[in-house]
Amino acid sequence: MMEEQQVIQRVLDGDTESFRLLVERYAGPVTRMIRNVTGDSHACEDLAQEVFLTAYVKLGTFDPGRSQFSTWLFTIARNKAVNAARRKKPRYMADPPERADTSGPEAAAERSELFAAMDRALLALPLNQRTAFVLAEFEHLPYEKIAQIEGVRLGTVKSRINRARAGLAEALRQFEGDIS
Amino acid sequence: MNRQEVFDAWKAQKSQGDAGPGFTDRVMAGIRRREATRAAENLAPLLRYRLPRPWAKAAVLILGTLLGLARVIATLHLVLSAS
Repeated sequence: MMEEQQVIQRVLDGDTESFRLLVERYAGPVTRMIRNVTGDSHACEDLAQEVFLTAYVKLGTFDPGRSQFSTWLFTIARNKAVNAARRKKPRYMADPPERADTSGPEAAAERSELFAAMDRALLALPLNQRTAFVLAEFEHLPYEKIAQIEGVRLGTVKSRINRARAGLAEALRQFEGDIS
Repeated sequence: MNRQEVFDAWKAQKSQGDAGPGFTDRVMAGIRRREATRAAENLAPLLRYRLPRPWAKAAVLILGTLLGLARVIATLHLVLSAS
């Protein structure tokens, strides 16, 4: 794929179809991030479409000297996901992709319950902890980039992620206590 | 499975998953719709500016129709005179 900045320049010069390259590159991470923040596996694609449409409309305001394109795009996605999560309680848990399970059906069922409990615990986290955690642990973004996306200091990001991890660990402990 | 293994497996699962099939096409269709709407929006004030009165709009419409007819007649004339 050609350099991202070249693609952006072509779009700004009127080659709308070049925007497809950016959508193809970031469709997965953006959709996944929205799904994990909102817990809504049905509406996440609509929201992701809105993110790309907004990015297209505002592409002229993107400043490569201030941030990478992915940081700018994730900032739009993060804001839309947070607004959606604030508007309503999640109706659906995220649909996890199927994975081959070599253990028996009992172990698979137990793991499925554990994962569902973790999903609930994730959605119970405060939004600012949830978004930071999702970006760090599921999208593997560096903390500096997350700080830019969240518009906070690096220390604040670290603290939010640590608190999120502690909250999830506590939820896991409680779940283990409930089933034993 | 110990606690850390559960946590890691859960994280790995949440890191997977992609946009559905046809997602990019839907986004691009939305962008094209938006571009078409914007072009129409840009044209509308121009028309309002150029043609502030109904009679002017009617005159443009009649002129366009006459030009179209003239072109049809000219084409017919060309075809008939060639044969």
